[in-house]
Amino acid sequence: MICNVNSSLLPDWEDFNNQAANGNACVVDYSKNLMDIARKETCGTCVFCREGTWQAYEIIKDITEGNAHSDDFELLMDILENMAKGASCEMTKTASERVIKLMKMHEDEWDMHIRRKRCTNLVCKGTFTLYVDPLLCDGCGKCLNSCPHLAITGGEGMIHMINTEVCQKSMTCLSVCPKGAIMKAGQMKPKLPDKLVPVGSFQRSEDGTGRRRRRRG
Amino acid sequence: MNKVRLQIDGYMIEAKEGQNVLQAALDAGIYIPHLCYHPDLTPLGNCNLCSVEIEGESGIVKSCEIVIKDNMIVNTKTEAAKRLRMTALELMLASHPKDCTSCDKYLNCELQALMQYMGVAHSRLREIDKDNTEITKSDHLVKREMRRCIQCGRCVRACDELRGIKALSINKKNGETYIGTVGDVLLSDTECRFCGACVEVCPTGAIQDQKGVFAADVPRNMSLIPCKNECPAHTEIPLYIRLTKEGRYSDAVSVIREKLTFPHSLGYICTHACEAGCKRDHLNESIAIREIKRFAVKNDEAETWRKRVLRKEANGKKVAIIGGGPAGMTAAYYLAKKGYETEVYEQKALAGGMLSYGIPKYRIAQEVVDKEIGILMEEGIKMHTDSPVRSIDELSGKGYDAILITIGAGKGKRPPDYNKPWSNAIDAVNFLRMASEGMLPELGDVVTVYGGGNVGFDCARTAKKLGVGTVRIICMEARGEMLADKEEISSALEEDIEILSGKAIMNIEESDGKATALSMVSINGFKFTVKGLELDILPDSQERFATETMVFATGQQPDLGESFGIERVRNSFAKVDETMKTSVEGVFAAGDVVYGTKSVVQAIASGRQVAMNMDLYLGGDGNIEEMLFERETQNPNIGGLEHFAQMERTDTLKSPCDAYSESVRCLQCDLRLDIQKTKYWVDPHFKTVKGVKV
Repeated sequence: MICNVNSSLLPDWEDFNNQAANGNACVVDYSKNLMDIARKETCGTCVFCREGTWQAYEIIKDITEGNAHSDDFELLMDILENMAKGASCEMTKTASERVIKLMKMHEDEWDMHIRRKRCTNLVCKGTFTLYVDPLLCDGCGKCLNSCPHLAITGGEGMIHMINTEVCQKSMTCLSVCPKGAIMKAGQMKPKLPDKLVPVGSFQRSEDGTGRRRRRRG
Repeated sequence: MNKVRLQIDGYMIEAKEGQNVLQAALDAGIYIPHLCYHPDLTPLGNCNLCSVEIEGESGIVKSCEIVIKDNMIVNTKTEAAKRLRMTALELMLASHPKDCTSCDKYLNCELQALMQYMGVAHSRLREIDKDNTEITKSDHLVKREMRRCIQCGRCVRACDELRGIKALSINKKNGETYIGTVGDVLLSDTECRFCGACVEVCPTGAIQDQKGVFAADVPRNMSLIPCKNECPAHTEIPLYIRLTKEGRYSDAVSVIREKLTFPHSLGYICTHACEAGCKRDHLNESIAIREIKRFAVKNDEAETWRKRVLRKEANGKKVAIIGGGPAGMTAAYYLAKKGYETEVYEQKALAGGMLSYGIPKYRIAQEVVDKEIGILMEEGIKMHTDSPVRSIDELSGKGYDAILITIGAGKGKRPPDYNKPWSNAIDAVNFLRMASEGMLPELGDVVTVYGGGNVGFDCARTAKKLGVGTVRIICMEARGEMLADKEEISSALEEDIEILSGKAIMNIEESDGKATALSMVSINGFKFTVKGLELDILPDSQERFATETMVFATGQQPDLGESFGIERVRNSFAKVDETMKTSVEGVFAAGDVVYGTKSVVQAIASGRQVAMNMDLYLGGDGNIEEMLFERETQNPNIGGLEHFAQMERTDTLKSPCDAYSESVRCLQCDLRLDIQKTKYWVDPHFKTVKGVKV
């Protein structure tokens, strides 16, 4: 043992899940957080703590962002198993073992992230887009100014629109909107105005389901 | 020490009690990959490459951290251990640059060797870019490319454990671990002593010596100690500087005397090539090595070296040495100690050669030279002064088994056009000889010296000291390229001597058999081609000066006439073979007569060499080496010093305190050689296992 920190720094999965909105956390997102904490908190003297946690974090981050490689599950498992065996400190060992356990328990969820770029609870950023619900937006403009990437367009009294090509999912707008009009969309995309229209002028189509669009990638 | 018997990979080996498994395996010729481990440092267990399995222990362990026990059974090549090592190496490579071929450590890199051994290429993992590696900056001595750092921590441990300095540390910033200095300052702002231990232990190209600090074409044990390497006699300079620092002047002189005769004289006039090589010169200013030597010799009261001088019984053989300069006297000294009946024939009234008749007295007092010759004479050398020998035939029939010619280079050499018998033109070598004998003719009030080397300055300063009003030095080299020592140039300027550099004499006017005036031009440069001297003349730069005395300090050559009876090269140089033997059996030559005018220290080195060769020729073992100072185990823990990099050179050492403050500036380059070299897996040591197959 050469490291002073221990696994008490790592959040527990159950707690993490309970704290999430509606208890809908994502195991992949949790695993990413775990490795991010581990890599930042470790003393970094041993190669598994220093490079292993970082590598695992990078791989899981790619998975959450929809940039996974097809063999990432096996690669990650291999690295984590060696980390669990070889790491000098208890924190890295525990973090690795915990992720391995979650990978085995929730293999389907991991597989869905890796192969289909989907996240059941729409937590992982690579798996959803943000949109402004045209029926809730009152055109107040608060989200417009909050966006660090200038991805939102709109005007006074107009239904705001998020440019998903520009949006980096900083999630800032979510907490700013007084109407709670910013929504996540997974594979199913709702029907939205295709240009700026005044508040109140947008109508859902008859069937109410909106159009379906397949995301790239 | 007790032996422990254990089994590694099916071999029963014996190892020293208390060793770790890794070192025991390596010693027995069993290679286990390792990177952070270094035999001189406390194991850190960081790289995981030395992972093995041990029967009875659960899981995989790091062999560097396990102390050996009797009957231990170690397996280094299990699948699980191999996989773990592989992953560890891959992880290190993920953040390591891939431009191996543009790294100066290419083909001399432990990481690269491990990649080859383990068959790991830059791989399936994500490449990781680290920001904090950019923090570290290089300085004049240590090149730090920290993006190549794999954080093995060897440098940090070397600095702390070996040197007791702690200039380096494992730092953490923004969640990123990196190796740096405490507080991320430059090394020169830490207590770093620039010993090079961190460079020595770094397995990759992260910490390297700056290019140009060490010579590339000599063996490591010489190149790493540049002062010693540059010294023609290879004196152990760092050791005697250390002893001087400790106030052990007599021990310091013992070290000096192992390689040098005339140490006190050298303390005054040595050309100190050592200082030009000094590693500290790249940091701020070189160590005042010559001054330290002089201080030590001057303060050597105990003369402890005398008790350990090697002296052989008389062997009944007889040698004659023609010329009692530094080369001849040095050879005579060592040959006499080897048991030869040694006789020196000196044409002048005093031995010492250029020390007595070339170098002006204001640079070195005759008493210093005489006293040093006296010390050499104690070995029973028979001296014939005022005894010029012009031919080896003069010595035949006197029973000499070998003859050495060390007549020096005592004849002036002028540019061909000025080889005229002007009565007021003097060659520098004659000028200085006459000055030392007090026999200079009337110089008049204007003296012109042609030649900007040390000899030219000796002449000019001598003339000035004799009261000549206008003394001019003319030389073709530009000021920055003049051959003379900087201190000579600055002293001359202080003494009001005019230095006309970058000038070439085009014509010397004569009347009544005298050189009366000279015309010269300014030049941009010059070169010697097959057609002769070629000048790049500046237009309209002609000048004319009248002169009363003209001194040619344009070179010297040996005065070795045909009468000597040995084969010559370039008109007057002795032709010798690789053993310094001339064309005549039993006749050797050394010093300036062989290679032209150089330096006293070069002559001493040459004199030592020829003594060895002559001893071999005459049936001896050729060994003249002496251990005048019993070597002690050097404590590597030198500790840090605040503002070490900024310490300035003291040129004049007046007290032990001055000597200390100058000696303590030494970077102690020799300590680096005490650090063990790690062996690569391809090392022949690992070809056979030193153990019994079970």
